[in-house]
Amino acid sequence: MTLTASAQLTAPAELCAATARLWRDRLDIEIKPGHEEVCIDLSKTRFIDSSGLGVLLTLNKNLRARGASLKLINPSSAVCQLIELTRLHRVFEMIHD
Amino acid sequence: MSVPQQQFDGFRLDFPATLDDARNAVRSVIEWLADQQILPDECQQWELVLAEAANNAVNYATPEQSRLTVRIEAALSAHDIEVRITDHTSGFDWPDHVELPDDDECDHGRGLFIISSLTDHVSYLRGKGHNVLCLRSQRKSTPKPQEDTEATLELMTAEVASCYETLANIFRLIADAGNDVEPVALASRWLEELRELAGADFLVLRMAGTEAGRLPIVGGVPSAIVWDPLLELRNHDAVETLAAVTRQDQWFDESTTFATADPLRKAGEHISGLSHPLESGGDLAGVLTVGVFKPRWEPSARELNVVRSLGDFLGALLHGLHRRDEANQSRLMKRELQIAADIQRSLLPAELPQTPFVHCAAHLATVGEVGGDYLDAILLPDGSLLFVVADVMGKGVPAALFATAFHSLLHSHLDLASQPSRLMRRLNKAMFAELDRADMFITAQLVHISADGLALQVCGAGHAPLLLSGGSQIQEVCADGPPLGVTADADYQDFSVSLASFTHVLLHTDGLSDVVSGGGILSRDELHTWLQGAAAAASDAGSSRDSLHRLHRSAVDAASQQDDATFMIITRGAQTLTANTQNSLSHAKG
Repeated sequence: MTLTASAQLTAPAELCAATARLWRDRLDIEIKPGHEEVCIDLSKTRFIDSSGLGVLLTLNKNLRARGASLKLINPSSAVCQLIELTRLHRVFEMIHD
Repeated sequence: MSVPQQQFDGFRLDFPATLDDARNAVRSVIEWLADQQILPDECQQWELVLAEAANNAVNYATPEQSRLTVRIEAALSAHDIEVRITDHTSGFDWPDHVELPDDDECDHGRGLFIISSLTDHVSYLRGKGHNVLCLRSQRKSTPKPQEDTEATLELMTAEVASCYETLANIFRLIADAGNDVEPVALASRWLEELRELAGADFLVLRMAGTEAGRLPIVGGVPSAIVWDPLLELRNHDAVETLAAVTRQDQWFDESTTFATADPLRKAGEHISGLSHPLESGGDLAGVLTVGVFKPRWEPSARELNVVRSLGDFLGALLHGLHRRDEANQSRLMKRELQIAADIQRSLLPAELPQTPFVHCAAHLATVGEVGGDYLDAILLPDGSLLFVVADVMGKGVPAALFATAFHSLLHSHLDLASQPSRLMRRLNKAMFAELDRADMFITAQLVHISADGLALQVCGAGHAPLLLSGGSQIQEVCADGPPLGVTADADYQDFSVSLASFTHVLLHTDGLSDVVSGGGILSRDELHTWLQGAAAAASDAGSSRDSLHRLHRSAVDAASQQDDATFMIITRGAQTLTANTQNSLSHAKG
């Protein structure tokens, strides 16, 4: 059995332009190079805009570049609707418990 | 952050060009939309759209442009939501087709796509120093009628003010009515007041009168309209009648088809308004119609309140005044009849004259307060006597007045008493014009008996015959001419009778026994039998009078009719005067 190094983070209630910088800074701190998997809990995120999506896309791109993966856990319906509108469901791996 | 400027009929906010302020501004707009009953789903979409738009206004501003505030405005119509964002960036050309980035993993370039996808209409106007992004979407649900607190408060205030106004007017109306104003004048004045208060062009007021099924007009404004004086309640097609019959308000306007006979047609063709029934103590008091010369009348709540409240009060007041007038009229009529009755009684002799040779007794009956029957017995200076029985056509005050005139004329021409026909001619001449004008007449019988009681002269004017009896026989003396007041130069004849073989003479009006028309209570034969019996029994005048009265009374009771007979019994001979004969006039009131 292989153990995967995973980072578990909870996204803020609002993941938007106003909070994107702070959130990006936090990701830089929390996610280590050894993490092969990053799980972002989006269950408490009621609002996300294109800037918030941009943060997740950058993270996803960076993780994939080093062979790691990003999982979006329990995104709220508002988040799901935006992801689908922007067709990013083809990019993100979303997991619903 | 700036304070929302609520004087704009919608939402408006100027905010500094920072992302935090932009976020707060968007939250404020969404809260305002939620307050306006916009559905949560719609609010959620608008939050995303506005976040993208506001971020752009901030992100693309140069440091210098960032010193200027960004304005966000939101407005609602019945069908749309519209938001405008005015920025001070250099602006850009809005692409004809907004698409997602080719590279799915590109971390930017989705803002315009989100805005375009979630709104129905987008326009971006670039100006010198500022740009306006205009976003519009159809509302997903029909807005519920909003309760405008200010409007409601205004309405309530107006209603309270209207109540006070109505009350003040009612007090004025009460004061006005207290000045003993004639009801029609009061109605006219207050209809003008109502017209002004209600902003109406015309009013017509009809009040229930004494005649059932008809509403006579009490007043109408403007006076230029000649209203029908009477509203027939049988005419169910008329708007006013419908209001009266159903006791419900009846509205009319350009869509109303007025019946041909509808009195409201008098107001014109393009009219609208309301017919309002007036009630008093559960009874229909009248109908008030208020209208305008327009195809449609939309009175305010205040105007409607004034019309209904003041109209109701005016109706009740006029109804009360009408009742009061009726009662006064009735009292007046009763009083007049009483006076007439007093006059008539005053015409009767205080006591009937009795001589050693001639005695008499009489009975006068009147129906109601005043009747038309008249009798008199006068002892003349030479000892002879004049007996008079007359009947003025009709009853009541006019009959009493003519009886008075008859009495006065009779007493002023007693010099002709020994020639009854001359006296009758004089009476007819003197009274003809007045009787003819009043379309009335008088029947009369004048009987003169000499001082020794042996000679009788009689003259009649359309009156019942004189009856004489000595106990074994009956004689009828017609001696008739036309009633007084029928022909100006009527001729009358005297008929002379020797009383040597007669002891009892009877004069009477046709209420006792109408031997001419057969309309009296006692038949001719009954009367003859009675008189013959009285003469045979040698009854004195008083006893005979009482006996005939009893006979008549029993006949009246049997026929359930009114006792309106007047008669006089004259007896001749040397009978001793009994107490019953002294002052022998009886008077009965039916």
